[in-house]
Amino acid sequence: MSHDLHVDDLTDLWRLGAVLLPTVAIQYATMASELHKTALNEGPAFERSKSGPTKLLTAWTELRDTMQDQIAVKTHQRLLTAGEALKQIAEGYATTDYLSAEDIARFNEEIENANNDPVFEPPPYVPDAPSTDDPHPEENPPDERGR
Amino acid sequence: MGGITDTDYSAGPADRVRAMEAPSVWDVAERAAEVVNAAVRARQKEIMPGPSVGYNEDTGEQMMHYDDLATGTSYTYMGNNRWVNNNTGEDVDDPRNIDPAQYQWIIDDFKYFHERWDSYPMAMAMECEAAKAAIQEGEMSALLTADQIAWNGWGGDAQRHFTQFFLDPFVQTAVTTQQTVLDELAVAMYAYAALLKQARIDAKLLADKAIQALDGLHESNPPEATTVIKIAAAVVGVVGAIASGGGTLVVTLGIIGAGLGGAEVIAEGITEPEKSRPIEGSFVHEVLDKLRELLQEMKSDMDKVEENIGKQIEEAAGQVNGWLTSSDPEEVSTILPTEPDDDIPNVTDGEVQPGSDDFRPRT
Repeated sequence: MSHDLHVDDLTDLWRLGAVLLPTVAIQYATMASELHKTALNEGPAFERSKSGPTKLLTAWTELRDTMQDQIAVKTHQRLLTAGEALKQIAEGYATTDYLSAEDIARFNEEIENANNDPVFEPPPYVPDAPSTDDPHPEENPPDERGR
Repeated sequence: MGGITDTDYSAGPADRVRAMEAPSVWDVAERAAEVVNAAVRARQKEIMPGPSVGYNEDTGEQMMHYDDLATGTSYTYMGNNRWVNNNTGEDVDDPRNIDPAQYQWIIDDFKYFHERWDSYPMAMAMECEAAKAAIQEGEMSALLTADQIAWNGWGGDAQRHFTQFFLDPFVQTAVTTQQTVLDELAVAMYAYAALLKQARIDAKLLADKAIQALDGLHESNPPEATTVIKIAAAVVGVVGAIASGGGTLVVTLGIIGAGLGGAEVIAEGITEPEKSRPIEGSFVHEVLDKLRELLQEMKSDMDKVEENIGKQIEEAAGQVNGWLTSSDPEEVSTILPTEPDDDIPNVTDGEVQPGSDDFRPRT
């Protein structure tokens, strides 16, 4: 470990884990969601009345499924796991006597007041990345009362 | 002309696009029905009234005579709306009453070229583009420069493993590879949409020319009816235009990779991606035989292009699966970030030395 660990490094590390990686994870949830939507159109796009769906459908959906389940969903999960790890590491350092009491107090103050500072504010909600097995909410639009 | 109304196009994000597409779909269906009408009209012209052959002894009605120029059959009117086929002796209906049902195959065959709507694959392509945009924008740019963040003070194995096995491969390679595969999915759907759209255009032209050829039968100096089939050429053009924008790819895959070297791969196995074909014949059945032959040629081109797109997608999928199933974690990280160790050691132990297994490549 370097002996030049400053409190700013620690807050950057915490921010990377608590804010940046979960925010990018949300983007992967969107990627999975957009790919999920394609399934709604694949039936009519490929169905032929006499000979059924085409071989292209099989090839395309296999690659789409891989990108959704094996890439988007997993990247989403790994970003969250990595983020949680960095956050724990940063908070772990802050419980040691490596930093001065003053620095530790500053670190704790910054992350405790994160909600007041957009730079340090973790996303309030990280949606799940839908997998191909998940239902399509678009198939069941809300009724007139929005339910 | 039934058939296209049983396509459900009510759901999904591209309703307006579909509404715009509907007229051109109907157009082809209607033209196919008009080909049937033209065939009926032309057949009626082929059955020519001949000289009267006398009067029916029982009814006193005039005994008309018809000659079918196309088949060489002659018919004689027997009275009471009955005719006799002079070649077989068979009692038949008025030979000039042509049953359109015998040409139902025209409507059925044309359906192949309009029953699939390009707005569906277009919507799918746009969704793939939105999926790509999702991992291009927002905080992704901040993550791309995260390894330059001033955290130099954080050291040890955990820091090294995080940057070496997770962050660097992710931002330097995996994100771009993921975007390339999403491009590949989108390009395949753009190509497929172009295929469906051009098939409709070609089918409409073919129907128009078939009508022209049928209406020109037995006319003096009928105009030459020539159609153009350019399904394959059109799709090659679309793929080539998209692929030419992808010259900076980190990895090249399937259609995009092939397109960079020549989008003609999409037309592989098709001798003439664009071709002119006359629709000719001296009689209705000859014109319709030619029509059937051209419909088959169009279908063959369409199926081949579709097969070629599928082949390129399979190739891309093979490469992606190769990365994902590799026993070498670095290969896996070409497209997928390393899985961090689930068990984060307590970094407060001892000398605040994070465990060496953090962010190791998962084997």
